Order: sequence, then structure tokens, then C-alpha cells
Amino acid sequence: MTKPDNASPVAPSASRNARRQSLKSIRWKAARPMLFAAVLISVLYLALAALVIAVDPHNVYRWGAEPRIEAGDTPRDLVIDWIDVAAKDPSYNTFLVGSSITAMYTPEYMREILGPDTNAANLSYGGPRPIDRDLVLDRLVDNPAVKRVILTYDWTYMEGADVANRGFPTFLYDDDITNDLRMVNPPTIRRTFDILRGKTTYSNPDDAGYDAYIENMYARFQSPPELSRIKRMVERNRTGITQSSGKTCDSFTALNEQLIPDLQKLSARGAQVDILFPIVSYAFYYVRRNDISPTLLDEQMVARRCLVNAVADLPNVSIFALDNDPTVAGDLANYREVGHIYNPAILRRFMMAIKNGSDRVTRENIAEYEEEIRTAVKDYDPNRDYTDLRLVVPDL
Amino acid sequence: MSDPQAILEQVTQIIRDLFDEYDGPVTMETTADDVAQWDSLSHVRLMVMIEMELGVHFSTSEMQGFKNLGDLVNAAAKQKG
Amino acid sequence: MIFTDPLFLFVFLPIVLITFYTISHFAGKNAALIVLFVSSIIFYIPHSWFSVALLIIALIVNFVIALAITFMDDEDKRRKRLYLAGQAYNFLSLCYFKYKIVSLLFGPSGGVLVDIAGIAIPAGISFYTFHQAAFLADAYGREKNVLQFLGKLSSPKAMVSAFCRYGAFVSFFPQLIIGPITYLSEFNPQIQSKRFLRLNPIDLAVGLTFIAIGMFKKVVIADNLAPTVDVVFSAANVGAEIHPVQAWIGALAYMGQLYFDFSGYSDMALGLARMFGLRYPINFFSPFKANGIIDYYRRWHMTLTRVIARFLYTPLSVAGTRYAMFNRLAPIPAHLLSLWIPMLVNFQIIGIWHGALWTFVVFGLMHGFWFALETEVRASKWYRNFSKDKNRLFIGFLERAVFFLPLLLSLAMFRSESVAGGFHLFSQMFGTSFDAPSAFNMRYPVMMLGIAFSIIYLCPNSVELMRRYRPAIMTYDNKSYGPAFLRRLWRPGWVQAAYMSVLVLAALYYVSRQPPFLYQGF
Repeated sequence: MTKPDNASPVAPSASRNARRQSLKSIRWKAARPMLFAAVLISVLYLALAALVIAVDPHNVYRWGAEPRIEAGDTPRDLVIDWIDVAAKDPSYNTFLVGSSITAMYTPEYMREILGPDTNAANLSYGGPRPIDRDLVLDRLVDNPAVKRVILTYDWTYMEGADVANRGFPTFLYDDDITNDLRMVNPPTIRRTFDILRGKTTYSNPDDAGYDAYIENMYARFQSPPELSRIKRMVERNRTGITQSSGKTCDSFTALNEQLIPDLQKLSARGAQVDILFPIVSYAFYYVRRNDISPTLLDEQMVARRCLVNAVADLPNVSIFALDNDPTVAGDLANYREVGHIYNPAILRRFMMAIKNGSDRVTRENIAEYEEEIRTAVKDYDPNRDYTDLRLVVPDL
Repeated sequence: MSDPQAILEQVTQIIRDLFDEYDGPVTMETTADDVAQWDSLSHVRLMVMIEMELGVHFSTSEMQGFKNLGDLVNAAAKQKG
Repeated sequence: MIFTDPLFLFVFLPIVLITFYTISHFAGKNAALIVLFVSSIIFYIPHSWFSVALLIIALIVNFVIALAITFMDDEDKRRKRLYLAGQAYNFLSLCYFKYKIVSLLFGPSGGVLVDIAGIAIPAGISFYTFHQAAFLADAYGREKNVLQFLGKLSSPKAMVSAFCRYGAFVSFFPQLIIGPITYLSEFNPQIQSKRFLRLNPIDLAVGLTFIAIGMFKKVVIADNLAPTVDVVFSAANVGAEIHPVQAWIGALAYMGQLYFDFSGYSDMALGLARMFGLRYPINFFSPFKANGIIDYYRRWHMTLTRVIARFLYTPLSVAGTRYAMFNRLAPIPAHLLSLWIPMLVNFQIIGIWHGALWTFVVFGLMHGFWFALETEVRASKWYRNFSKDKNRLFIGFLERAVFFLPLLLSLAMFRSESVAGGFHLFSQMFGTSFDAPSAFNMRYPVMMLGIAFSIIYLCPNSVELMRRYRPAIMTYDNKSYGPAFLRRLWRPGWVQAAYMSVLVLAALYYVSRQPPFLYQGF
């Protein structure tokens, strides 16, 4: 076949061109719905992204709105988006960086105990992991208004320095603005429009829901079948509970590479850092051995000892523990879950310890503390009554 | 080039022996899909049997490239010259 | 960049598309292919500069060797040596950078990669290495597309543009990181075609549909199954007691996650390439609907199956068969040589290709034995007599019932963090730890599993859905299974556009939480 010559006025070529033209327009017409949808979604997304980035509802940039958390509000799990909203707010001088075990502390509560100068924000969220914890602490290190940081030393610090909480928006807190396009999700868009409408304070909509959730959890945990299930778990996991993990301080990368450098910087700046060993029950070491690590007890003890020794010479850094009191950690009635304390008196006692500087763990008594926990866990008997045991432990 | 038809007859015999349950026609257009027993394993066996019978040699890429018996027969005919 | 990133979808892709069609309109094919090559490198830069350098070196090495062996005489002894040197480069760089030296497999840490090379595994290295190895073999075998693809190389300028063509072929971003592993004989005819470069709105519509489907699979389904999988497998790894129901949910969730993650990626790859007017071979064709492991491997990661079968299984099996027949071995040793050993080696390589971990070794053994066993059973007189007079439907159900459990268990082993962890999970699935604490809230995972497996068994796959538009190069011919009345045809109408928009919006809803594609790790 010879090539059709477009310039020549011969009939077949002209008709072929006409056919091609008409096919082309048919195709465009056919594809129109998909193309329209694609263009619409793209344009909308980019427009929303531009708006969100310009308004900056999470206060991650130097520009945009400077939203504030409503006075007295505890954002709990919403806080992962609001780290900068709190951390860049100069009116806060005290930050609680915890996990689900400290999510209940409200700013008023903390002020009532720690004193009227305390202006606290609670940055606790469920299941923190090393990477996101480090991002949060980095923000506090950068904030000169910070006078005090209260921090929980959760078991998740045993995980590697490269482990992150899946739900945590790390992209918001890195230096790369291009990946911030991902923040365009319904809550963020809603918040952006709230700001445009002039509402620049955030509040947590479900305080009541949280309280109900805690009460529910407590009731479920305290039910006889659940408690007897826990007791059976403890017995099943008894063999090897004291087993050594072979871990040394070098094993804890998150501690060495992330936490300790941040503590050094905060301490050097004169900020007070109070670290809490989570008040987990003795049963915790049996039950969670199952899914965290078979040598959980030993690893926790080594990790705690490493932290205590690493910060021993840092001024302004204190470490607190209440779990060496068997009336606390031995009695499951204090708990809503083996690792979550419920008893309000004990929660209060922890805040008081920070205020008074009692219940401290130091280089001098860490060996004793460790021995107490190891022995108490080893000898833990879920059927024993721990309530009227006022054992050794004078206030240290 | 030797006669493809003669080669096809030789190949047909091998196929009848190897695929004893197949009684359909064997032509230049026959493919593995036509013969239930002709899977990848017996394909290799068939190729090697044909190599031995006809005194030819196929490369593995040739073996994988045959689209039907015709391709195979022609390749063999070409080799026999 | 990753495909589900809004930056990629809403910024990078439109810019590259517009540039590509504008340049091709004004400056022709070579310039258009340069656009593809350069944009693919830009796409790759966020993965690390080191990876970019390694990719470009690999491109140059393979390109130069391919040129040399194409223009050497067959008689020239150096031709074979050069070819082998090229393949050795591919093989060794893969071993070094992916496995950080295979001996680690036997090291004290039991397979945990110690960072000898001091860097992370370069993204996509196992895919682009296989891609180039296949190309080099084509060049060595004088596959007819190679000469046409390289074109006339009379001037340095022609050399550069041939290199860019080659760069575009290997590194084109839809398939750079996770495949499909393409042959030149699939790529070259398309870029030689007159239709290439001509903007066809149907290509855009089909491409967008694939992207919408793929994104939904990955972001909505796979990523919502992922948390359950993580919980169950990490608990299994420390030897936890797991409630049997939850152990099953975890294993099933991984099966769903792996499939929707990887096939979602593959759909997006097909769609992205199609927007540039290019068709790629398919990787997935409803693998979980398969009637056995043989059928499964014709439907699962097909481009890997075929490249390994081509370079490993077939040569081994031919050599084994030749040896057995020339030496008139007894049936059992003959079968060992022609089937079992090649099959076990084949699957061992497929396993290890995913990484230097013992779990992959065990996975490879499981699939190798299973595949060879099924081959024997299907070839046996007993099975053919058994299946001959039975109802097709009955046989279909029976085959799938036999197929399901070993598949589930082997994929669970594939995901496990250690071999012991894998076996522990099995023990929990079939155990009696009814007293174990609940590891997760079951309502949501069970709902997601329901959705995932309904799609798997009832819905047509994306290629079936789009079959009017020749959506992909069929790597293998596969039968369509599943209810035919649901196997609707897709047309680019308003209703379909609305459906696709819903899929994309659902995916965008979840996009702020964005784990990478699973196969990026391989």
C-alpha cells in the first residue's frame, strides 16, 4: 500500500482524513466523563491542598493561622495532628508527653497539683513509638518557653529507633513540604474552614466519651471471668519469667540515639524533666510477655537501669516510680488493664511525687529498685491479697 | 531442506506414543492446548524425544518459542538441511 | 515517589503527561522518550541519590554490552565472554546491594541484614536487574527487536538517543520500582508503531480507570488489613498465645493484604503506562481463584514467574530431561532430574529473590514441593480417571478446597518475621488457646476481610473488566473464573466515571496515612 498523500485532493485520502477526524471526536466524547472526573478531582484536591497549606491549621509552618487549644482541653488521640499547635504556643510551660496511661490528666488537674504557675498541655497519645516520640520531643526542645517536660518511659522504647506508630502523621513534622499534600483529609479540611470562619481554638469533642470508655474498660477488666482469665494467663506464663534477655544498654537504640540526646538538650537549657516509669501491674510482665517479648521483665529492667545511669549526672532530670509498692502494682483492683492504672488516688500520687520529689529512682537506689521489682514479679501471686501489705518501701 | 511432511510423520508417531490418550488429528496447526496431556513437563520430554529421534538440537529459547507443531517441524527441517 | 502519593498523582503525573505529549507533537519520538527517561529519573531521586547513580551505572553497563554483542560476529569468542561478564555484573550487583552478601543468610543473626554496604537496599534493584538481564539475553540471542530498537548508530547523537530509548525502556517510572518485568519484544513494537505518541483520549480514560481501581485496592483494602496483620504476626513472632479465630483472621488478612497491595500497584502501573499510550504485561489475573498451585503461578506475579522459568527452570529441566533420556534412567531418577530438582531450585530462587531470610527459603521449599507434587498428580492416570466422569463444578470446588489451605499457610510463612514465628502461628491457628487475650478488636478486620474476599471471589479482575480495550499484554493465557453475570464490561461513561470517582475519593480519604507498597521491600 502506498502512503496516502495528504496534499493531494484524491478522494480516498480525504475521506480517510474525515473518518479519522470523526473517530477522534467520537473518542474524545466517549472519554469525556472519565477525563472530567479526573480533572475535577485533581483541581479540587490541589485547591484544597493550597488552601490547607496556606491556612496551616496544624501550625506546622511559619505562616498561616496560629490556632490554640481551648483552655483546659486535653486533645488525647487528636493530639498527633496538634503537636505544633501546642508546642508553638508560648503560653504553655509544661508538657506531658505520655501514652494512653497518662491521657486522663487534664491541664487543670496538673495545675492544681503542680502549682498556679503551671500551664500544662497534655501531648499523650495511644501507642507512641520511638520515631514519633522523638519528633514530639524535638519540638519541645526547640521551644524556649518550655519549663517542664513530664515523660513516660513506656515499654515501646525497647523497640528500634526506626519504629513508628502507623497512625502518626510523621510527614507533617519533617522538613519536606512536598509530602504535606497528604494532610488533606476531612478533619483537616474541616479545621481549615473553621479557621476561615474565625474559630481559631480547638477543642476535643469527646471528653464524655473518653470518660465512658475508661469506666467501661475498668468494669470489663474487673469482671470475675476476666480476672480469672488473667490469673490463668499468669500461671501459664510463669515458667521462665525471670529469664535473662542478654540485652545491654547498647541494645536500646531508641534510648541512646533519640531519648538521651533530647534529655541532654532539655537539661542543658534548664528545663525540668520528670520521667515516669509506667505504673504497670506485676501481672503485666506475665500477660504481655506473651505478645511483646518472652524476656519482657528482664528487658524492662535493663532498659530502666540504662536510662537511670545515663541521666544520673544531668541536672534537672528526675525519674519516678511507684510500682515498687506492692499495694499499687500487686493489686489488680487498681487497674483497668494490666498495664493501665485506673485508681484515681494512685494517679494523684504520681503527680504529687513529681511535685514533692518523692518516689525517685536514682543511680544510688536503682539496684535496690530493680531487685524489688524482679522479686515482686517473680513471687507474684494473683490470688494473694496485696491491699494491706505495707511492705518495706519507705519513701526514698 | 528435508521434507517437512516426512518430519511431521515422525513427530506424529512420537506424539501418539507420548500422549497415549490423545486420538485427535496431528497437523502442523496442532498446539499444546489441543492435547490434554501436553503440559510443560511433557513438553520438555517431547522436545528431547524429537531431538533424539531426528538428531537435531533445539535451544531452550527455541523450545519455548514454538507456537505450534508447524514451527517445530520447520525448525527441525531447517537444521537437517 | 510512590504512586499513591498526592504529589505524584496531582503534580508529577500531569506535568509529565503534558510535557510528553507536547514534546512528542513538536519534536518527535526520540525527544518524547527522553522525556520519559528524564522524568523517570526525577521520579526515582527521592529514593536516594546513591540509588540513582547505581541505576545509571547499570543502564550504561548493560547498554554498552548489548551494543557490543549485537555488532559482534557469532564466531567471535569474546562475544560470549562479554555477555557473561554483563550478566555477572547484574547478578553480583544484585547480590551485593540487595543481599549485602548472601552469606549473611548463614550468619549468626539468622538472616537479619547487617548493613555491610552501609546503605539501604536500592529501591527496585531486583526488578530493574531482571529487566536488564532479560534484555541482555535477548541481545545475545539476536532477538529481532533488539536491532530495530537500537536503530542506526552512525553518530554520537544517535548513540545518545539510543541510550535514552534504552533508559526509557528500563526505567520508565510506572514499572521501575515493582515491575512488571517487561521484555523488549513487548515494548519495542509499541514505540515503533505509528499510533505511539498520538494522544488517544481512550488511553487516558482506560489508564485513569486502572489507577482508580489500583489505588482503591492498595489504600482502602490492603492498608486497612495491614494493622491486623502486623498485630498477629508480631505476636506470633514472640510466641504469643493467640486465639485461634484471631490467628486465622491474621493469616487471612495477610493473604488479602499482599494481593491487594501488589495487584493494586500493578493495576496502577498498567494505568499509568497506558496514559502514555503504552501497554504492559499483566502481573495478576485473579490468582486466588486458581484451581491449584500450577494455575496460581500463571496468575500471580506472572512476569516474575515467566522470567525465572525462562532463565532457570526450563534450561534446568531440559538439561535434566536430556540427561535422563540419553542415559535411559529409571522413571524415578528421571523425574527427579527433569521435574523435582529444577522445580525446587526454581522456587528457591523465587523465594530468595524476595530477600535473604529463612522464611523465604521455607516458603520456596513449600511451593517447590507443592508445585512438583501437583504436576505429578495431574499427570497421573489415577487423577485423570478420577476427574474424567465427575461434574466440572464439583472438581472445581474440590481443587480449590485443596488449594486454599496450603496457600494460606505458605503465604503466612512468607510474611512471618521468623520461621519459628511462622510455625508458631500455624500452631495457634490449629491450637486451642481459647483463653488467650484478645489481640485486637475483631469487628473492623472481619468486615474488611468480608469485603476483600468478596472482591477476590466474586468480582471480575481489572483486566477482565476492561477487556474491550486490550488493557494489557497477556503474559499467560488464563481462563476467567467466577460468576460470569458479574463480569461486566467497562465503558468510559458517566456512571463508570462516578464509580471511579468514588473509589478515588475513598482512597484519598485514607491517603494521609500512607505506608509504602509491600513489594517495594523486595
